[in-house]
Amino acid sequence: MSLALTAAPARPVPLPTRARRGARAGELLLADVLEREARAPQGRIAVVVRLSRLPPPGPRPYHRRVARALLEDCAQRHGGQVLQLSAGDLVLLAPAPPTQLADPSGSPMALPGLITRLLHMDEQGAEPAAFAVTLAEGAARLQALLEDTSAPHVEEEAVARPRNPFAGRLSPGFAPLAPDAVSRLLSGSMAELLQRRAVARLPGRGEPAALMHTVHQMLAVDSAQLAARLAHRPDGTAQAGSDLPHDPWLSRHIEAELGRAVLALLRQAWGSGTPADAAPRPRVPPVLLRLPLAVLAGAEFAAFAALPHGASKPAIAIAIAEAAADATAFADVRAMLREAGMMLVLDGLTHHALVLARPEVLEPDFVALAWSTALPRLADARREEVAEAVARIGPARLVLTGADSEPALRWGRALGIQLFQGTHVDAMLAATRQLSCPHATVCGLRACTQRAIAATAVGRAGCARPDLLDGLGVAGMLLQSSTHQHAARGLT
Amino acid sequence: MTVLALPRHLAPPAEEAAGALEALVREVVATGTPRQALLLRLSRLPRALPHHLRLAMEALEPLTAADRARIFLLPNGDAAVVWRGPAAALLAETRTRLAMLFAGADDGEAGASAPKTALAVHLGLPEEADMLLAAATASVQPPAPAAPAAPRTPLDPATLGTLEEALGSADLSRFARRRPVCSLVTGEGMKLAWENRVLSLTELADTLVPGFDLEAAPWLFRRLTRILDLRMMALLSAPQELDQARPFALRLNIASILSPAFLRFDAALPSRLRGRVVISLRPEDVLADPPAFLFARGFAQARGFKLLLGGLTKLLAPAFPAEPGGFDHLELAWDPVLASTSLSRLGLRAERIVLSGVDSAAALDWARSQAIPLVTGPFARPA
Repeated sequence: MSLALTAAPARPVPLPTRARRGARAGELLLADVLEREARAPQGRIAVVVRLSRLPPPGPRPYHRRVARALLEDCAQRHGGQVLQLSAGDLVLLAPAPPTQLADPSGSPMALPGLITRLLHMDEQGAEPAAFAVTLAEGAARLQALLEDTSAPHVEEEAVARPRNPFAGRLSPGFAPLAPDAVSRLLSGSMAELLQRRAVARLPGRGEPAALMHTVHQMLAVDSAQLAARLAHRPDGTAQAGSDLPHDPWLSRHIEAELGRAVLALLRQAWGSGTPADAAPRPRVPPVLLRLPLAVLAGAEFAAFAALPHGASKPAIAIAIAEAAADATAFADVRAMLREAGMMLVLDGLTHHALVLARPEVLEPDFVALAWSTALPRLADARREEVAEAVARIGPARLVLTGADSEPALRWGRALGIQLFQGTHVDAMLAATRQLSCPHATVCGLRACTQRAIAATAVGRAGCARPDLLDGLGVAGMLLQSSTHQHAARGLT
Repeated sequence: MTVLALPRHLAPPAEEAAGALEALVREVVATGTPRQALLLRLSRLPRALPHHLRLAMEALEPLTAADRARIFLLPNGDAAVVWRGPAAALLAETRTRLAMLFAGADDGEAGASAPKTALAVHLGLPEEADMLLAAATASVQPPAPAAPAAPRTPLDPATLGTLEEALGSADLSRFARRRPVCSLVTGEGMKLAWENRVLSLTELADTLVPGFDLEAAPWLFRRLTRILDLRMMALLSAPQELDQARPFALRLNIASILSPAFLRFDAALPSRLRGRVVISLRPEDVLADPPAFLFARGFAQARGFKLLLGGLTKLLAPAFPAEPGGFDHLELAWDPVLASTSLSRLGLRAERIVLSGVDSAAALDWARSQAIPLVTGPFARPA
């Protein structure tokens, strides 16, 4: 049975402000159907998927696509219609299903449970992502949807993409790689893409705050810079391929290219010195580099490893996806790093991955777990699984990365984690520096934080006490000389 | 020579003997049927002479009386007899004859552990089938070595971009292949469980980007699989494509499961295949974006697809317990080092395992010993 939506209503439908302003078909149709149901009840039901209420970062395109497909499949089998409201919420209007269905799982009434399970997998007390109501009993709730102005306006998924000749035939979200995308990415200065991010050990409960110290300086590619480089041609026009960092496989390939370039940069910077020149480096925290297996197994890394590192042996982070793709190569690299006395950090793990896989089986020295604001709100069962995984790995071997707030630190410390990385840690270190810096009042916390993160001399400009910017010194110690600036440019 | 007058089904002509022996051994291995064999390695005699063959026939003659005995005179002069059931007396008589006729030569050892110089080796099948297969293969004169293939260039981003554009319109149906996954049924040989639907990458590369190795740059190859997924699903969504299809498996990226192409494929799937299609995922894909995986898993399972986690090795398998991932099957790649361990020591339960790359009797033997229900590879052929 299909819904009679074409006949004109008996009297004008009082459309809420938002619907009038947006003049969207979804709102108009829903208002129309509610009006008709009020006048002549037909026992219809509505299944509502509140995509606009998903917690940050909000719905991804596939959430909308799949939820819509499930609703449309149901509409096709039971009769009905799917509407999209301007905030992105989806509504299935269908005749009420018989109470006895041969396959209850195919009933519209089963959809909210399925979609809620798909969308809210582990958060405690989250608002159900979907619900079903009869139009008669749920009229007020549905009317509220029409009046909801708190969610942003969402466009329907674009079917065609500019500069993608196959958009219609292939798939939204997939565009052929622009042939020059990767070479363009690698054509600029490498040092400008780098940031130094501290991994710090935070004092335990009851220990003095002054015990906080940097244990590693992670030399990482600034993803914002990377995206900016990809998004625009030199002439300033936007172009295809700007979603390149979002493709997990291309990102890995690019990481390998960037990793080789970073190693070359470091060899230029450090390799020119004699072991005696390298003597000050043991005083700075060792560098932490994230490198793909292909680079670690190559000649570039062997040459880097052979540099006189003294007591500050670099530590190496390997993404768990790399290890999963080639466990044999991973085991070989792990043995090589052990022999070279370098720490191995397994990174790229979210709390979901911590439950799906057992990283400790791969025998790393440390495991880096990415902070998520969902962590303190996990449902009981999932929270226990994460706590078990942390205990299995050993909290002393965990690094909580992306720690951007006090709750992150609180969550980690409650589980016994002591190593943290993230903007909040950078800010805490800056605050500590400023306590002993006579120029603190001139600079301010934000500037001090940014200068410590910068990996180029330009990024550190303005600091009167660079000796307090504890760290690697790619910029501060070595790249300031004209020779090394030249070396950095040589990579361009 | 009386033996040479044996009926064809007992002793195929020399030019067919190697193939016939190989076929028999594979069948024995596939069905797990016990057989015995005596391999007579005349080619190992320091100076094999024409009369050795006649002597061998005389020596082996008693065994031809054993139940279902078949004799194979291999092209390199070796000979093998395969029979069923106990034949101790016949074997003993054969050994006596061998000792008399080949006086001075080592006259026989039991099992695959026999010294390399042993003239005759008594083998129990299917356990020691690999040795007999190796003898059959080695007996055929290898073809003259072909000119070494020109080294292929690894895929680079620019070529990948060009290839992706070309794949948008190329007809891929001629590259489509089906590879059987078989269930091991005790005493009944193998039954087809499903077909792995794949694309022949070598042929595809030879046609579209000759001289390039698609898999040499692993992450660029993984990126290429995105568009190959889309084209494969489009192929399968075509009218009539699935009408007569048997249950099958597709290896897909998670992003592909969440694409409109998958929704079209799902809509095109006939109801008789619903619940009988397997989607194979890779561990690196699961870990690259776990929320997307969990969403795709929930969606695919709600639509009745089975999920398989592929690419597991002895090293990796313990890091991926099946339960949290919610996988219906785990695909473990055969590696001879597995023979020295067991599934339980890897933390795996047999009922979900598919053993892939089964290319030897030893692999099949290990699968049976571990009660692994499903196998795929060159040795997996449905009866």
